[in-house]
Amino acid sequence: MATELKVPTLGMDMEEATIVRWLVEEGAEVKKGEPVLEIDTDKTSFEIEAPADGAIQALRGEEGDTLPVGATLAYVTAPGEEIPESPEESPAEEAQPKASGDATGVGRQKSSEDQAVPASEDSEDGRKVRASPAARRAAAEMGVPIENVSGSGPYGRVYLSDVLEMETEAPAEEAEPAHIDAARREPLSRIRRLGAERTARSFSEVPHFYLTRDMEADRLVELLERLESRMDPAPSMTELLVLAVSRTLRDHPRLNGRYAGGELEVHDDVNVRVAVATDEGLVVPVIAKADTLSLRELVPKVKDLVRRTREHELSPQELSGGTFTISNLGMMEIDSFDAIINTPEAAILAIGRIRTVPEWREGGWVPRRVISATLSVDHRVADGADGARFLADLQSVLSDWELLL
Amino acid sequence: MPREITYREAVREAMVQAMREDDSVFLMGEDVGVYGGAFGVSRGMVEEFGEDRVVDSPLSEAGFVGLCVGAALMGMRPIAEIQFSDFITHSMDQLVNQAAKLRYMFGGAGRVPIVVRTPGGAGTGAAAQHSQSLEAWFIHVPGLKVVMPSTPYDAKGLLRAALDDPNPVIFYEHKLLYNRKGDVPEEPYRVPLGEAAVSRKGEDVTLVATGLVHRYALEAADSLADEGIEAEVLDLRTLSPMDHEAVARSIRKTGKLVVVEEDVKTAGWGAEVVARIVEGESFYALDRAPARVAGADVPIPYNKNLEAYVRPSPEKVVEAVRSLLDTRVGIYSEVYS
Amino acid sequence: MKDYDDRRKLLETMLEIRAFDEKVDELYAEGALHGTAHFYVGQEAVAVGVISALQEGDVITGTHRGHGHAIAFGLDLDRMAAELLGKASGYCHGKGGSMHIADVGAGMLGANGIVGGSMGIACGAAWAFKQRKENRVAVCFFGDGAVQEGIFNEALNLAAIWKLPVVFVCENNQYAMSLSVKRGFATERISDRASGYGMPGKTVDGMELDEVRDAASEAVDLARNGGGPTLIEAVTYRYLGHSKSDANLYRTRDEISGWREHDPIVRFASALERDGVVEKDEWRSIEQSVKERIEDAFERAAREPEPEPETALEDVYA
Repeated sequence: MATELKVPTLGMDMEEATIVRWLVEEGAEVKKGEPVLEIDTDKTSFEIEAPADGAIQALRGEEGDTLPVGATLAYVTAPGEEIPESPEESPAEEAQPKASGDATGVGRQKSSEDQAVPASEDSEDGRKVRASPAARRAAAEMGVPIENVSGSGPYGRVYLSDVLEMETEAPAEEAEPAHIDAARREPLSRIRRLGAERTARSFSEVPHFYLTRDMEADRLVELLERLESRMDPAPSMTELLVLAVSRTLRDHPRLNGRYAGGELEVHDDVNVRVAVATDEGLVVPVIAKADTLSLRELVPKVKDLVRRTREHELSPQELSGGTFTISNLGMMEIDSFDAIINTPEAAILAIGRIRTVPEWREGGWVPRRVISATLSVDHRVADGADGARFLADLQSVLSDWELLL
Repeated sequence: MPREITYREAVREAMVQAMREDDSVFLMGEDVGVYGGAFGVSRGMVEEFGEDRVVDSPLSEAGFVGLCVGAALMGMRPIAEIQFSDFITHSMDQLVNQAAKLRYMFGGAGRVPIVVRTPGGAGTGAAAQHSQSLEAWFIHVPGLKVVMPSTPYDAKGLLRAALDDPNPVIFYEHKLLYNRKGDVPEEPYRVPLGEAAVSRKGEDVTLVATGLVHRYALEAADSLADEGIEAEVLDLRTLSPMDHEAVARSIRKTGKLVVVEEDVKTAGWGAEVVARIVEGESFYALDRAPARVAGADVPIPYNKNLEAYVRPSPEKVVEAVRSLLDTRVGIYSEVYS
Repeated sequence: MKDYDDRRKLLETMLEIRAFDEKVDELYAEGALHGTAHFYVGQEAVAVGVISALQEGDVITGTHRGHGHAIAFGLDLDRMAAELLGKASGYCHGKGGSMHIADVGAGMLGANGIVGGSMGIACGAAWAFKQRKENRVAVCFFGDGAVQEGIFNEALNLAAIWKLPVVFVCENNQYAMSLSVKRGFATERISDRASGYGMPGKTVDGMELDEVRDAASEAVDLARNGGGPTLIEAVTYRYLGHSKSDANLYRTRDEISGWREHDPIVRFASALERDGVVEKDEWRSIEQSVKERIEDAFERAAREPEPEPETALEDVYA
């Protein structure tokens, strides 16, 4: 029997992928393990390999097509094998309205000479819009362009409920934005687009609150300077923070959990994400079980992860399962900022640059080095006290590394 | 005043009450006399009405159905009982070429008020030639009416209404419904032909069924309710003329259609239900593709498990509804595609 | 029901039947008629012979070759012509055509397009008469071809076991379309089958009206008096093909002309001349006026209005 190649699940949260390009042609001989297709997910792109030796046939999908997890991409047939009957996608949802049967019982069907009904409607941005008849009618009635509705059905199919949800989200009156001539239009990369959807969802669904604290950083800076000459590669600020934060999170399960349907999901593993800026947008790879890694293990690991992130070489496992995120914009000279939680995580820590500030101590002003730490917390799972305690414990570690022993 | 009787008794009661009121009503079929009918439906009747009105016929479906057609043309009201609905094939000319068409061909002169009663359906291990559901053949013949009651109440009411009807009516009973009990008033009453009934109200999906599998739809609806899905169940009761408006009303509410039918899927009566919804205004109320849970396109096999495998069941209906609501691609369960 | 107290009427009716079908044949050849038709030419003595033995209240069922029975029964020539022309004033308002002409109210339960299709119906009518204790008889006309259909077996058996007041008249015109009776039956006489069902059977010369009439009278009386059914086999012949599209490839011209020598109309006219009921060759002038009558009927029918298209949707259900 022919071997089916399907869109794989590449992480807990993955639902769909976009085809970047096929690396082989229809009918080409492939070997098991050979890369045949490049796809984009919401985090990064990666290659899909042939599942068997043979001829790869019935390639489905073209560059830019979005397919859900589990969709058939192709079949690999060994000599003598045949491709099974392909399941039909749902037929034209663009059927012209047909009058119901009149007295003669003959429906007023279009004759074959009439124009063929298009298989699907292309929206302006080129994506095919699949929507149920009820959804289309509701969208038309509401004045919402159907392409603006994101569908919850298979292949992004839009259902009535999706359209109705839009009604509750959209403002009652949408004024036409003033038309400005754009210098040029840039399509968003998949990473940005999905990032946009995620952050929009997080920002609207998750009740954020923010705790800011200037962390005393003298010891941190000293450690960095000392290790600079002692370790190769030398640790960065981010790596030391991962070390400190991951250890601290052990004692703060609320912040290492997630909100799920009215319950707090607690995670034993501390899987810390670090925010990495890439040419296509922000990616947040995961350092699994970060709290169990020694500095010697952590440093090369994080550096490698960051490099591969920038080169879009991550494996799916490296993009899923995160329980907490650290975002460091200190190297960009940002003093402080409030980050948006990577839902469904419970919290995110935003770190600013090292600043020297005056502190009044023993009758005089003394310079102190600090970094701003802003903790964004999902108020459904933790409150201010939880966050404050975490920051206090973190500060203890940053001031006194011996506490980690 | 309602009391509980069986479907079989309800059918008998309709015939007996009609025969008491109208001399021109008579029953003719194989073994309907002293034997009481192969399924016991006419038990006791020959004793009350005599052999001229409860007539044992030789094994001549063409002959006695044709005779009933002629008697009907002369103003009598015959009930022809075909012992197993599969044997209706012997009488096809009499029903299709004669009974259905005489009035039309004669330009409106003459009527053929014959009722053909026959038990159909599977589930009894009687195998391929004694288990069929061929009602779709007859809804396709203009001039005939086709009725398939699901409950004892409807069986009595619809049979009485069929006997009143001046047209030829094929009245499908089900072997597995004969023992089912239900509330049935003692006095004579009619249930109008051509009207569906809403047997369960719901908002989430419309299940259209009739006959034995109407029960399956109700059972499925109960299971689905446990998952928070409220199904609306429509009992069509009459297959021709079909109450498409009732289906349309329900679809406007739920947007989702699942037909549950015992006959084989290909060109079964469910196809007509779906076609009417899709080709009409109701298309714009559909939020999912319509689905049919039907018999597999095979003759009915003998082995009990094989038989169950090719027939609809409440579980298959539940699965079909779940598939309809599932948002994952390609998850359309193969309920006899 | 036509009144046959006068033997002239019998002759006249036979001439009507012949003229009607010959006229229809002519109209088809001209392309003036739609569909097809089956001609009774040559068999006139059977319809008239049998039907003249009936009383008011008796009913008949016909065949696809049904104009003869209809005219013998007394159906109106104008309305028959109109029906063949598909007009609204036809017996079936243009919806039945040649093979389905009927006047149920009068007792003519229809020509029938299915071979044997009316045998069950005739039994049903007889059943109703018996149940209601009415003194009425049903006559079922059918051809040698119908004897081959299963319904023949079932209808005769039911009629016999229940002693139904029905007379089965088999018009053995030697052919079921192209299949001669020699090839279609392993026996000589169809009436021999009657005893197999437990009823009397008789074979008569279908070209001799009086012979047909006598046998029919006996059978009708038996039925009317509760004696049950009879099978009459009338041996006859149709001069014209099975239908309009028949090229007569299965028989010879000699055979046809041979049968014409036994022509039932000529024979009966001769008999009437002998008995002094008509003058010598008077039948020709009767024939002439009959032809004019038929001509007239079709001319008038041609001027009748077509049915409205919507009537096609009517009378499917009562």
